[in-house]
Amino acid sequence: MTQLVQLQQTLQKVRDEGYEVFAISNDTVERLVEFSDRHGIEFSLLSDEDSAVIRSFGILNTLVKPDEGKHMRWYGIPYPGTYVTDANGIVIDKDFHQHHARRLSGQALLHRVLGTVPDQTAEAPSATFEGDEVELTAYLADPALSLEVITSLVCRLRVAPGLHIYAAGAPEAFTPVSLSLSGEGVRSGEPTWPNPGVLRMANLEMSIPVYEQDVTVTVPITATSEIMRLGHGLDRESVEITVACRYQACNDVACGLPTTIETKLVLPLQTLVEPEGIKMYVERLE
Amino acid sequence: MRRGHVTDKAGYYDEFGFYSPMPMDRAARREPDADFPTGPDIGAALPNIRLPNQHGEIIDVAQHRGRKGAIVVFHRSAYW
Repeated sequence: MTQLVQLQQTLQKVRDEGYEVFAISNDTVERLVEFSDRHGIEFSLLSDEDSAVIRSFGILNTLVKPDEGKHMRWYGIPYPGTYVTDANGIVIDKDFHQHHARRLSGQALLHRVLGTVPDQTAEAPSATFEGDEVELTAYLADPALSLEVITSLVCRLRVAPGLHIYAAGAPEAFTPVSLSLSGEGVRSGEPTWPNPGVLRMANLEMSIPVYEQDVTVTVPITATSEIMRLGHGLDRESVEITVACRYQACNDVACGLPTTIETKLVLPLQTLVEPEGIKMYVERLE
Repeated sequence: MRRGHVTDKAGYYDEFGFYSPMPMDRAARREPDADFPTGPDIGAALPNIRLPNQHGEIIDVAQHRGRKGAIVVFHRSAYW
């Protein structure tokens, strides 16, 4: 539900890149048009009422028995996930997760397919720490964090001219650059670092992996049920996270001490589209 | 719905830490084993999809792709 609304929000960008969006479920056409009208959906919501296509993909959810949740049409749902195809219909990427609520944001998936880093946009939150050696800018790839939807936090390190910082794989004497994210109710994954350059130290007969100038790192990030709960509204509109970067900067003749810099960002939380079925259960709880 | 209202009844968080007011014994809260089927692999051809859309028009995905391709999302429901 929320996923379809988010796809609508990034539809123009996806189309500009040459991709068309199709969403498939076992909902009836009547239920799809109702949802589509309410949320202004401009891409095709396809109705696979008898789950024939879902079965042909081999992704029918077999944990649901035929007599369960008849009004909701629980029987016949797929294991949710996304395929990306090329112009000839060949699958070039797919995104499936064991938990039904977990997925890449449309933006994150598109950039994974394109092999690009999301641009910084006016509506996305950002923050900068201006250090003498390293400037750290962090921004979110999407306008807001959403429950269990994985987006990217993009971190740009700008290393001052004449300096280098060490990358993973540098000899033990040097502290390699690392990034960490912290904040209540957010979960982050492993950062993706670009390939480092190589510093050749002829006198030591060593080649050391280093970064100079601009380094762009992406970190997967999502909001968890600690701060966003289905059926209960939001008790806050945003969450604050701290991005910390530890590095050691050197020039050709001298080395600084390992240093940690950090910046704080306030990330808005996306309002959830509450399913009708959930409201029923909330009323029972209250 | 009261803003900020939170219910902490046992059993409403699943093993992944995901909360829902829907009780855990409902089919919609069952999650598959880690090796659940995910359909065609990367490199395979996407099976044919020819279905009615929300306006009742029959859409053949192969004929409505963008110039570079398609993003095909299977979701659980637009209703619940």
